[in-house]
Amino acid sequence: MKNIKFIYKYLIFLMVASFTSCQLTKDIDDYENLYTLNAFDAISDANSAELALVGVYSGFKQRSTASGLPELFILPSILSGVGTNNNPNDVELQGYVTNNPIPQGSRSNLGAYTRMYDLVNRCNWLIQGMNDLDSSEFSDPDRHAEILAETKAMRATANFYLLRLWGQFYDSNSMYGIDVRTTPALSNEAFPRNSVTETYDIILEDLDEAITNAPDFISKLDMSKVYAKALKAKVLLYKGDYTQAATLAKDVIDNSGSNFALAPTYAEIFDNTTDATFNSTEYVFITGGGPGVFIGIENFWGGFFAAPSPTFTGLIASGVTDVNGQLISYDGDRVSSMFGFTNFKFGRPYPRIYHLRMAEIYLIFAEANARANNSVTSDALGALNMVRLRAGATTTGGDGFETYPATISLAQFLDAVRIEKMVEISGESGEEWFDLVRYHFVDGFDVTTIKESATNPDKYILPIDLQTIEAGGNVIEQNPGYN
Amino acid sequence: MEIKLRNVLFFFRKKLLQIIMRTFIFLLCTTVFGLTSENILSQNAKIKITEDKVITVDEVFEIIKMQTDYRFIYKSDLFKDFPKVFVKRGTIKANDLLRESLSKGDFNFNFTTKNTIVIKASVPVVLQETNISGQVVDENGVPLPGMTVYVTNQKPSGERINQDFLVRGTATDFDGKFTLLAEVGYYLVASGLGYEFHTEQITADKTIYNVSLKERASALDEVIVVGYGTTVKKDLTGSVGSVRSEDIQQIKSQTIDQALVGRISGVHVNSGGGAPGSGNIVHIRGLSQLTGDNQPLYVVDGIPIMLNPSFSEDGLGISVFGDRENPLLSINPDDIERVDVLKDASSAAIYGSRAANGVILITTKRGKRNQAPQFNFSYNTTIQNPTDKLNYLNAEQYRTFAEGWAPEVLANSFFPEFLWPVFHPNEYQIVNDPDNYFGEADTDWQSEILNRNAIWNQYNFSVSGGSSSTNYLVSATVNEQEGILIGNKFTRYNFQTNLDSQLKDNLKVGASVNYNYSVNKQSGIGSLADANYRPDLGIFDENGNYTESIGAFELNRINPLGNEAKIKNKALAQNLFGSVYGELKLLKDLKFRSQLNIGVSNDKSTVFVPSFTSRALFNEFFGQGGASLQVQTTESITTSFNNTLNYNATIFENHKIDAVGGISWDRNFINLEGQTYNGFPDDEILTNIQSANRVSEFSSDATEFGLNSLFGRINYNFKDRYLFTFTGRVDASVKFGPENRRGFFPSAGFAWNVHNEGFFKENNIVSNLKLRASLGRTGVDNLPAFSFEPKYISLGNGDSFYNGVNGIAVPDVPNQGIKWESTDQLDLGLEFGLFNGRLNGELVYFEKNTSGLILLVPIPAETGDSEWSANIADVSNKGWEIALNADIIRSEDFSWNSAFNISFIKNNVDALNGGSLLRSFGIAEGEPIGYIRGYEVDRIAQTQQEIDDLNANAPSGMYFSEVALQPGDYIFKDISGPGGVPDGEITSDDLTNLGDISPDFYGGWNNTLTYKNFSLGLNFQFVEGSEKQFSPIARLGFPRAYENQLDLILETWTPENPDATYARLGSGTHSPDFGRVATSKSVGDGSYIRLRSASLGYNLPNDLISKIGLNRARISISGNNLFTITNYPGQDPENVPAINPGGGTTGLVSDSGLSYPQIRTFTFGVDLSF
Repeated sequence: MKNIKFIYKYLIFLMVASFTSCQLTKDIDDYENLYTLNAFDAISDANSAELALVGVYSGFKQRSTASGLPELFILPSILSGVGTNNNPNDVELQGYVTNNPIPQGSRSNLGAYTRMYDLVNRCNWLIQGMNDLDSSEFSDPDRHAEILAETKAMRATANFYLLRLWGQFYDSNSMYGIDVRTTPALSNEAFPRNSVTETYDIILEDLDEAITNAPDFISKLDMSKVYAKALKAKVLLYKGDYTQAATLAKDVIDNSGSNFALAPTYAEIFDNTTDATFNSTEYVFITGGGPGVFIGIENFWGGFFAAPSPTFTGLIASGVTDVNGQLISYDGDRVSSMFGFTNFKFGRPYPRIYHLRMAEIYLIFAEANARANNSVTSDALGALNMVRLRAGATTTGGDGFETYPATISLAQFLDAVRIEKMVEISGESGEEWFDLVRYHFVDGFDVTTIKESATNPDKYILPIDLQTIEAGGNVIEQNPGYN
Repeated sequence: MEIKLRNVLFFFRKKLLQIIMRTFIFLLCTTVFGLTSENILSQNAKIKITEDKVITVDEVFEIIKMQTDYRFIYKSDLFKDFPKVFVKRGTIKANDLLRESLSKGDFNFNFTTKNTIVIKASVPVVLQETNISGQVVDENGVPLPGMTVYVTNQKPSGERINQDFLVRGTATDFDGKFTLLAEVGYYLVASGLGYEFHTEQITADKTIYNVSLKERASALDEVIVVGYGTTVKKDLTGSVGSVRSEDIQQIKSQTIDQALVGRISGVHVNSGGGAPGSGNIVHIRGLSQLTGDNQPLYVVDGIPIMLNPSFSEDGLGISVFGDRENPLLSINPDDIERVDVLKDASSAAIYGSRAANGVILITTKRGKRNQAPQFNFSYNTTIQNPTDKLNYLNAEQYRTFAEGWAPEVLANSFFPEFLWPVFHPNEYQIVNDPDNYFGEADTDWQSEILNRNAIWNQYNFSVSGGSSSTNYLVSATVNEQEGILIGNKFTRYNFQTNLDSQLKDNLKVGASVNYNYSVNKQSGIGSLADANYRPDLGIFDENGNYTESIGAFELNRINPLGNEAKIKNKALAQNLFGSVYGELKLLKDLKFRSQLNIGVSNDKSTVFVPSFTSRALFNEFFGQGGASLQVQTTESITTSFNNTLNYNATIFENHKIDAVGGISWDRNFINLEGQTYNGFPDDEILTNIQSANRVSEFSSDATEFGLNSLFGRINYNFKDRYLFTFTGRVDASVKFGPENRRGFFPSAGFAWNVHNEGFFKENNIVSNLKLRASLGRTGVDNLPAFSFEPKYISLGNGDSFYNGVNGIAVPDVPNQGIKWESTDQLDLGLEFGLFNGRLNGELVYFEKNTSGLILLVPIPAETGDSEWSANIADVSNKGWEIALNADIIRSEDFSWNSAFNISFIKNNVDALNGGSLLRSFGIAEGEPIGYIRGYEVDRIAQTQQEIDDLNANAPSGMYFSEVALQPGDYIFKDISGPGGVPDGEITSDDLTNLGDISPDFYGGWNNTLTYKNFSLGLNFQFVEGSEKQFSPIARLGFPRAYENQLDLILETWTPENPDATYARLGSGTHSPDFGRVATSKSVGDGSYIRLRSASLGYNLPNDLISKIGLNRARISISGNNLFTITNYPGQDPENVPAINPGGGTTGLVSDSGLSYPQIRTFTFGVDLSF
């Protein structure tokens, strides 16, 4: 009898203990992951939304535990010959040097592809969270739409970077777009690729929302209406919609206010000694590094991964365009007379990734306008010469580092714009490579004149690493030429 | 005294001769093997007794004579006054009747003619009576109450005393004392459950008989702890190995893991280094985790301890920088009563998802009931030295090397000549101005950084005892241990107390508390590699300052005494373990027990690096110049709440059931924090956090995880012949994804005690024969909690920090199906005991098949991650274990017990299924875990012609495309090619398995010899076929002229030394593929045999010490690692990497020469009880 009483008492104790969630008898489902927020309901107020937005921005930085950034910005420059790598044992990098990328076993390629999808995934988590969050949570109710807009501008950026390196962006009829994801990844399920047109549509849709709702200006490290517009101009240029591209680029040049303008001198753009220069008017959007904020671009251009190739530096030092007898050299001293390419553009201690800057907008406008009008308009010529003048070009009409004369032919003009980009923004985000590819598919430009080994147009875009294709059960189709 | 004999009905006289003969044999035969069977006389001859009556022995003979043909001849008064015999109506076996009748005396039997037996008294009939007294104590001098002491008139021939020869007896009192009336010439016997029996003849001149009883060793009745209960060895169906306290103490170590070395088959212990308190590596039955440490679960009195809990994605433990103190410091080896190791699934499955690497159950000492307070004081002092030193060059040899090597460096420089003074300052000066470069000294820096004859003092005081219902133990230990490297001191205080009390007949409660506090101070000198400073420089220059030279990265480097020795590491650990329990007897056979355990382990380590040290100067490169202070704290709380019902009953005589069922809640919380502070105003005093200029690094990690479980075990025993064990556990854990939230871990074991079978003939040879088999499933759950859950976090390493704000992000794709790694294990065993238990042995075969091993597995990168952790790979372990234990000599004064064990284990990675590791070396399909991948060296090229010929035959024109071969380089073996046949050149097809970390076999040979009061222990350990890369050999490819070198460089090829062991200095073939690939020359053979411990003890004679009030006094000297036979090129074959995050097993494939030296010790000890 005594025992029974005891058991009875003990059972009561046990029940009380478990019903009151005593820590000793805590139910498994009551445990919580410490210092983490459940992804489904983490975005619960203005503060968490802002933090998650920072988390998306940080996705453009180097990730300490995975590769892909800043490789994303350097790989096209190796394809174009601006950068090279001298380590014969690095099979993957040699693949880019020789324009024959390896289709499997890559690190940089798979890493860069993954990092952009990581960014897309972070955007999708935040967008899902924002959709469940009321704008009244924000002291400024417009901030809700702004955050969404910033996120979508970044998603568009990532999707654009994916499309131009792994998709046939130059062919609007192509099925080889990218897998456009708009919801967070919760499983390892793979989905087929969207067509190129579908991909462009989604990128432009995101950018349109950003143009409408993004902040006018916070800093050059943040998304803005101007950036969305500028990127849209660039995307349209890639897509071949030159009229719209020119209009938008013009809009950016003319109507962006005092925060966005060509910097007075070329050298100041690359003043990496301080973060005070992060808001240079030149920049449209940059990712800024510094102590504890690693972006890696300075290391990666420092030789072990890539270094400026002598072929490239030789070419721009000696290259001239003969415009009706006037020998106009490609470059004055933008590249060669500075401290040297690596110390100069990608030096410490505050390196930055130049996603988009005003000089490029001028050159986008120049090309788009000329192509839209099928002639070298004075606006187009003016835009190109603006960039050259800033770089120190003279207008004597003689030979040398001169502005281009109005007599320049359309074909020469388009090539001059391409060359200008190659000099002006060489190595910054690989733009000169995508120009080569576009010119090839639009004008039949012979890429081998710039990069001898780039003989196979199929390999102007990268393979999707076989590892990920196989991991997805071959749902994703490999780019032609890599099977 | 009357003797009752019953059921006398029939008799068969023909059998009587045999009966008598057997009686004779029984009575006279005493052999070393102690044939004591009481049934030796069992025959069918029966004597019929017609009625109950009391008769004399003479009358017994009459009855036998009447019913058989036998005649007896004896002195007519021989049985006068002999006790009468009570016989009962019925039949009785003749031998029983005779034996019972004569059992009170000691007689000689002589056969004269057939059927005639002459009986003579063998002892004087008239006996001198004497009063004797004495005390019974155990080996430690602790009085033993309740022991049986009796006088017998037969010299006992074995443990099982025939009660019939018992004259009179008593039990020892509370203090182990007794008094007894005895007859001179008779025998005094002392015995008790759990102790070996003791006997001696009673002599006329001695009245005090102090007896020391040995605890019964290797007995089948040994109580084994099996998790949530105990059992006895003979009832086991699984593989459990045990080590007891006296064996533990032979190994000098601050933690228990080391003491298991060489003791238990299937348990491989590798020392983690000679640093005080360092953790060791214990692998039970091979390796089955690809990520993680493969170490067992430790359970100390019910509190689980996990050595390397997993935080990070790659399963490699702690992600925060810095060190955590060894969690096993929470238990002092001296406080441990016994260690039981659960090896197979039948025994380990009760721990379910944590048990696949085996379970080590640690039981601490407790007081004993009915015992007077027993005070014990022990003092040990230990002298420590390294097992070996490295062989560095002396100053002259160094100068020869440097002068030869420096021009080579310059000749191969990437820099133009005018920059040589800047980028190669040492080499430039060695070549151009050697006499001003080299100093005159000849300093042996190893001697300078070693703390020779490091002292370790250990004091322990304890008191234990108990009343009839309560027992207690209080113990305190102080350890002061110097390390063998300068600046290293470890201080440890430990208190332990426990109490058990039988409050009522049916209610028992108990509690224990164990507290450990340790401070481990160390300088920056952590290995003998710090002695690579230039030997031509003295310690001080002419101004009395520490000498300086230019070191790596053109930074000035002060010599180690003024440099690394000035770094101050301090690790402080506090551990508190406590438990309370109540045990209630509900019914006769049913007990309920509830136990709550709490363990708190906190540690804090700080490292202060003064600004002038090389480490601080190097940190300038990372913008963290100046002095720095690294702080790491770990805070860990474990609670374990267990409720069990235990049913133990015998049903219908033959069916024994011992069942336990329970429910448990285990909770763990671990929090780690680390910061680095930089820029201190000075290096000596203002070194506190507040004085720092800035925080340069900060990180933290925390996890809370729970494991809620139901478990049960049923042991069923039929007639002691057939034993069945069924075990099951259901674990629900926050580590397992929603699709696998609960894991079920069943096992079944069967054992057959063949020797208890009716058909098993009693014989002198085989006393025990058991066959057993078990099959079951266990798991390993060492994965991060909640990895299946998508979560927003601030990423590590500042990855989510941007534009002045630390953001949050969802970093990866959660695997909802993540779960434990599952191991199915088969265990087949044969146990035998021969010669009355003097030779015991065990032969076991096991197979462990582990599936669902966690690796990184590719997933579609469109998810934002290119791989995730998933249960994918398969690994198997197969092996044999053999253990033998023999009492080679067992006599009163001299005994020699020898135990030998050997284990053969074959490990194989069966399938990776596309998975990989973040740090992916040492693992490949079809190879053992921790294998070394590399090129086999065929020879060293002697001439350029030889190389040209090879190149000419190579398809690519280069025999080894990575390196332009020169004479003096290794020529690797062309093993294979793209077509699977040698292709004339060295490519990745020629990479082969150069060895692996797992031994082919290992074991121990442990001996205990006692002679009177002396005891000698000799324990050997051996390991065969364990390989690891010895990095200093690979580094012969890029020696530094400004550092001293090992004498390995004297073995390098030169044109004058064409038969050298190693390729030329600076050869690119020393470390192919940037050191990612080994060569067969850089692989060291880690096989060894070592005298792990030897100890000699002497118990002072009782007569002597009792006069000064002591119960026991023992002095001992012992030594560890006294000699080692090995070919290993490094300091010690057991060396492992000094830094190995999370203790990852695959990290063990290389010995970089940076580990704390292994130690050799001599200990002098005194142990007093009073």
